[in-house]
Amino acid sequence: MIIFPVLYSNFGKYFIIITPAPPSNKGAPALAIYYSQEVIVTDIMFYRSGNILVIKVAGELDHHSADTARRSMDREIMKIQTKHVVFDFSDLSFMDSSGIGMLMGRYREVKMLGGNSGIILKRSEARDRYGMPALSSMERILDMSGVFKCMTRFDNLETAVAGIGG
Amino acid sequence: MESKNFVSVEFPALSENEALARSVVSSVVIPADPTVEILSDIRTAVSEAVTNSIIHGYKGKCKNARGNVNVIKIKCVRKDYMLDLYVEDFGCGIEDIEKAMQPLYTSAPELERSGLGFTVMESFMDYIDVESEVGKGTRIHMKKLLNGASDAVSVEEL
Repeated sequence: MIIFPVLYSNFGKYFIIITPAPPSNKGAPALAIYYSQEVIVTDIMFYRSGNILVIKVAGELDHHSADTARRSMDREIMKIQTKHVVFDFSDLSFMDSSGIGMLMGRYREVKMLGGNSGIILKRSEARDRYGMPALSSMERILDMSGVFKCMTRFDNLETAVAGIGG
Repeated sequence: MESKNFVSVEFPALSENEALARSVVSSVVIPADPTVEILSDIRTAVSEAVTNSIIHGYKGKCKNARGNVNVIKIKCVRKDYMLDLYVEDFGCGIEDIEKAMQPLYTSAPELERSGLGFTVMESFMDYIDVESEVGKGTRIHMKKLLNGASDAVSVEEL
């Protein structure tokens, strides 16, 4: 069976691959989605800018990856000991409520040490069926849980570093 | 033209299988050409349901007391623009479903969980029904319209 990538979707990072149709299903070729390897593995990167620790999470944040993410974040927060923390979720393609638990836990830790936390999210390009701007699933979960009430939202790293540090 | 497809999968209650469950369901949904938003709503709801089964249904254990593997079953049926999704586990079951479905309720407060699982499923899907028996397991049935017309139909029509 020959498979070939035809499109690199800009939603998340998955490939849409056209496979030859199974014999029983004549007509349109079957569409299947295959995740590129690096997306399944959630990437966590830490940067430091003055008294701000930037935690960049890329890929998918679910219960499985939130557990590992939590451990490495706690370790870095302890080690680097900056005052403020900024979560950079601009390259995060998926998050469920496990991510909220993790965020709120870290928020409490930082708050106890007298720091502020911020969150970087891309402005959603989502549209409802009337073509009006809508919140993405991730924004809705964050909104529902009240994360935006205790963390400041930023569009990009520059504004976040300026906003939190100042 | 009527299009119909379904898949059922069974996998052990391992947290790494949450990603598997999400991709299986999205593969069934994709031919109906849903919007990015509808697809990610479904993926989030699947993830919440499977995570609930692993953490609360099976208490995070992959094997039961008799040494058998704890399994989670997913059945996903797409008929035209309607998705029917069943997530079933054979774990401890839910005593009080109404209480469990309240926002911020969690049966594992020590785990830093947000308690939003059912709330997310309720608000991201068009229909949800939870059946549970203590000691036997839990079965969640969810529906979603894939063409984005969800607020135009009533629950009775679903």
